[in-house]
Amino acid sequence: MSYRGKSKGNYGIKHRGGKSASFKSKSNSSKIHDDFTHKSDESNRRTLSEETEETIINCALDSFLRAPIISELHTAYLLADTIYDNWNTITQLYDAYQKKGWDGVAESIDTEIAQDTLASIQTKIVWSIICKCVPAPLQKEGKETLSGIMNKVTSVEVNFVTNLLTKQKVKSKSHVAKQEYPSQKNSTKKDLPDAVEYV
Amino acid sequence: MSDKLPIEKIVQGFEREGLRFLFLFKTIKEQIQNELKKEGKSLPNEAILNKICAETAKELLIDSEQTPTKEEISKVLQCLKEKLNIHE
Repeated sequence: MSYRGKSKGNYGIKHRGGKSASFKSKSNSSKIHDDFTHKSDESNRRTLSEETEETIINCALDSFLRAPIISELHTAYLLADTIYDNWNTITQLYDAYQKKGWDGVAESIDTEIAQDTLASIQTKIVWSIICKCVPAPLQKEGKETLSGIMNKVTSVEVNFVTNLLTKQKVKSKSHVAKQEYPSQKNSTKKDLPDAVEYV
Repeated sequence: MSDKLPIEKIVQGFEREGLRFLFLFKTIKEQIQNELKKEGKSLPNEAILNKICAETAKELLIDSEQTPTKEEISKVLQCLKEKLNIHE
């Protein structure tokens, strides 16, 4: 997943001459210093930990946005789409693995199962299906990205995204309902999408 | 495999856009976390990190049936960077 040193290109992201992150750091540092020296203002200022946390996040975001991550994000789209399109096949293959192990997988596909980078069995199975859909130049990134997602995503993250998407859908549906039926105040539970609950 | 989420839990129930969102969200989060680790900085509160990553993913999620091009993603990132600087 590391992108440092991979490419020097900025992929169209404009860099502002200086490093705004370090500038921000200095600015925040001096703010923090002021917080220490002028304690009378403390009540009106955010706490030190909040300032520090924001500085860290801003620095990370800045360097993150400067980094050549376009390929990774492009690949993430591609992986999601390919998995979505091949979900039935992946499920069948996974079932075959559970029943007959790797022999079952080998019977179902004629591609060689990738062994490197991909840590877990399920990641290998998914990759064995989608690898042929990922263009050669993106294969390495694709494997790493998939591995990062499949092996590291947590229940909390899945829940967070699910809840967020559900909220957004409810909002947009409510907005549409208001436009179509001004008398109708809010969308009812019936209007909710098939919300996924992972608890 | 017991310590990994079953694939069904990762994929099932998401529509195409949802799956894209999850993948973008996780990819962005991994990138930020890696960057912080490389620089030896402590990781921020997970809730804050999740919020930032979700906002970024939302910006990047181009509502289209087709996978956006690198140029399209690049433009969104550029806008986001400018927004962040203005915000500061």
